Amino acid sequence: MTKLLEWLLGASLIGMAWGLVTFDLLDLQLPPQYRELAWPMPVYLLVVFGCYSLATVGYRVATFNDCEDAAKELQAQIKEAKEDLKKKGLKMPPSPVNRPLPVCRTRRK
Amino acid sequence: RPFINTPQATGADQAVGFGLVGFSLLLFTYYTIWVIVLPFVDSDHVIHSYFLPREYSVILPGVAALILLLCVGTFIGVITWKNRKPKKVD
Repeated sequence: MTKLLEWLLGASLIGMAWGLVTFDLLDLQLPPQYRELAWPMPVYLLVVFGCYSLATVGYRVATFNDCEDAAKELQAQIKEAKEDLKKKGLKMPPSPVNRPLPVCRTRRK
Repeated sequence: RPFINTPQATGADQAVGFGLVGFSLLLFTYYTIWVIVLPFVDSDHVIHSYFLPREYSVILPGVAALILLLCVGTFIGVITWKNRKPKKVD
């Protein structure tokens, strides 16, 4: 069975269980609190997944490191390349004033 | 530990990043109490006054998702319109 089929099967089973509880298709007479808990479940899981994604993105933005040395070296190389090309007669587009410093990938795996 | 020995992300990056983390934690906590905890709390408890009726716990995320889709679509539309090039005449 392919992974896609596995996921679809799992999702359908969970979906059916949710439908059974929410719409009381089997007349299980569950206590009302559990029915109240069940029907927002799909939206709740989506919101939780969204929160987790947002938190992960935020955390990785906060812990992503700058590399001062690599940035300076890179800008020196850019300058050198530009001068070299100017000598050979190439017209350069104006460089942006506030060039953002590059970041290096030293975040631990 | 990344915050002490290695070079750090700049202040703005950290502020935004941790702000996002804090916001999602708050949202998660409030929403979890609303959806999971409240059904098991007596209906005359004072905590219910801090939460909207239960229907809104589904309606509000739905509306938020619609607004998000609208923003993304508008953004794509604006960018596409800005980048339209006049057709070449042969």
